[in-house]
Amino acid sequence: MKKYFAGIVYILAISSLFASNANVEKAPDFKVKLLSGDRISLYELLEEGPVLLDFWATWCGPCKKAMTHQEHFHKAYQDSGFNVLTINQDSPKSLSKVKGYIRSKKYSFKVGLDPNQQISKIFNAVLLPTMILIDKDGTIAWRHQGFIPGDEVAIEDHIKALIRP
Amino acid sequence: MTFAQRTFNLTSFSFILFTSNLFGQIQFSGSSQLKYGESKTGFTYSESLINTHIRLDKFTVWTQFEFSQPPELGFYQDGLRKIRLDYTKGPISLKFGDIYEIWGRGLILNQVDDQSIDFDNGIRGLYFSLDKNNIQWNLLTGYSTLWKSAPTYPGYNNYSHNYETNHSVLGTNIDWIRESFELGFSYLQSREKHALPSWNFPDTVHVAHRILGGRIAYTAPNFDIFMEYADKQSTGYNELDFSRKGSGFYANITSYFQDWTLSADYIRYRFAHLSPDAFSRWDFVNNYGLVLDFQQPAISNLLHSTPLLGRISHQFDFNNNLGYQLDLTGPGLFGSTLFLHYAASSRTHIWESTVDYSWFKKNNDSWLPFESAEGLPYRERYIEVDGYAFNDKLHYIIAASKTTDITDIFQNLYLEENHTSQYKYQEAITFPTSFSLSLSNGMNIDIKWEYQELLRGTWSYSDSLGIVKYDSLKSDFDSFNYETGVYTKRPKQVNHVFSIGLGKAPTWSVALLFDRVSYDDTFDPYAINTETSFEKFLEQFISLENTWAAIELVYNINSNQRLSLMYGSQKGGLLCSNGVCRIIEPFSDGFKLELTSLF
Repeated sequence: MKKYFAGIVYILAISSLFASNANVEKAPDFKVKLLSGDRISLYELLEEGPVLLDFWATWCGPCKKAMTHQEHFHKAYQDSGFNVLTINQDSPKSLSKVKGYIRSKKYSFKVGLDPNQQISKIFNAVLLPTMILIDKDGTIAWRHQGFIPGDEVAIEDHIKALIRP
Repeated sequence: MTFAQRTFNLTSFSFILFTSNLFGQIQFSGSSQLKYGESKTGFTYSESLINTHIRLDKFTVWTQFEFSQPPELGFYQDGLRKIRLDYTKGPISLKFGDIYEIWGRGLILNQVDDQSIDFDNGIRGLYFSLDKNNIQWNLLTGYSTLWKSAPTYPGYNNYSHNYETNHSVLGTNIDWIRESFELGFSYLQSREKHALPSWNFPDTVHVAHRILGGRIAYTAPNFDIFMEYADKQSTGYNELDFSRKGSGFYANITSYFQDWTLSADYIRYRFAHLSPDAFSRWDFVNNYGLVLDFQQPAISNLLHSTPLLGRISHQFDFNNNLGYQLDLTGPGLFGSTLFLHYAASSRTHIWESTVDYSWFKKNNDSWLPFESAEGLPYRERYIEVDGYAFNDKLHYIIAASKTTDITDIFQNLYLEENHTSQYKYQEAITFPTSFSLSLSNGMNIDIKWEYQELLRGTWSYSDSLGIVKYDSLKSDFDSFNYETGVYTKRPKQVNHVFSIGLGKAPTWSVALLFDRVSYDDTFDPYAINTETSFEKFLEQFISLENTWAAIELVYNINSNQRLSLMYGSQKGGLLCSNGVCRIIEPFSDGFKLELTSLF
């Protein structure tokens, strides 16, 4: 037990040290197949402006709660070049449900498919939903794990901070 | 692992962290998950998973370290668990190490590392990809050791796998993509060392598997279509004279009419035809040449994430399954979304038993699922309404599900004018609901309630000369008191899972969780009878008979660190993830801690 807590303290110290440097971390580029059939890379999208990555799945309740707010942010700030790119994590076993869900909700943001979690692994998205806000220059500006109602206020504050000239 | 080795692991991990950050051009990121649990059942675990990504120009190194004594599920591990080097230059990419890939909808290859049920079908080897001029070509080669839990193999337990198979794998995949049209072909071969129980001679057999398949996809403005077919052959070698042939087919058509979406999936997997009794059908130890664990194809039923529906998940048999599902999604009342679902599946054949309990196929392959119990049918009707109300302050999900599942058949005997059958029957009506209310200042209240009426038991049927002699269900929940000699009939179990939570975004949330059954089916003396101090406190307010109660706190230390603390008891039983299920031990009067960090 003592060893275990020593381990926790060790990891906390290490991760806090790097967390303090998180604002200079560059997002890795990736290419993703969109629900529409097109393919897009993260840095192509970043040419337009900041991007909010949102990792989700059709079986994840909190993810669905968050997505209605992502749609609002996408519509509200797309004139400033801001984009929401949601990365779906459904495996082939439930992949056929994704398009129906997105169309029924009339979401207009881009939906990428990542059925074997390659992209989520690159971004260390171990919990769903995980949101990562990336500035136009590719710098990771903010991350958030999970979603409870009210989190949308913090998400919007961080988006506003990035699109402010 | 010795102290010196552990020190070496920690030192090398720290070295990677610090040196990678020292060099400006090297990008470093990672995550860690620390889990600790201690309960009165004796179930104690401590598990640390550390993922790191180091990127330098065209190279990326992914490592995963695990330090566990023991983990929540699986084997003890102290050190490097996964490693992979990725190299990408223009259209070429190369992966060397632990490979996880998906081709098509997984009829040939779908690799996952799912720690929640300790299922890992990764391959350690080389993966080459060329992506040029609408063509994607992949080549895969490597070795894999797959672990599973097998009741028919020595050492079976609920914590860690007891059965191992070794595979030498070679495969290739090519996709041609042109605008909205896709065409792909895949080939995978595996040479398997298949272990048999030690009382067999030989105790290992060698089986070669070859799977060849193709798929086609087309996206139009008003509909999408996807079809995939795989043909599998397994043959013995090194003195094993054995051959098995099978195939699988999956199709999906999704069509759109204004705001409505109708999606239809059809599956017909006939990779192996094993007799339908519970002992043979799931016995992947004494039967070989079955569907490979690398094959995790699409399924024809819903994946549920609520606790009670999760516990009655249909156990999908990829060797032999035939079915379809229909999903209709569209606008409901008051701006909500309506989702209607119907799923039907069964085995591809009906089987008859003989007086000595051996089995034979009664009919030819079917194209549509059987309704009669002889075909082990499964049916689900599900309706869900979700939406927002009160200026998006209240989010709600209200759902209802009815499932019937013949999970196993023990006898299906026809003798002249007599018919006798006996099978395992499960029927459930479940109502999952969820309400989240946003208050001012980021505060919110979250209420989830799931109600279920579950009928489960052994159904016996017999007729003679057209006259039914008996047709009844003996419930699994019936009880017999040996002291008093009283037999109590309990036709159904009534279950509730209720949670109420309060949170302040984006910092913390606290939730009380109750999991109540009308009759205990865990047979675990600790699970129900142990009364924790927490439960004693709660019993001042409510009765906790046959109830597992817990309190959970989630605290976001900052945007990169999340701490979760649970105290109380949790019901064990079936846990299903991604269509694969596993029995999980109950957790009684203990605490669980989980710290997730991104760095």
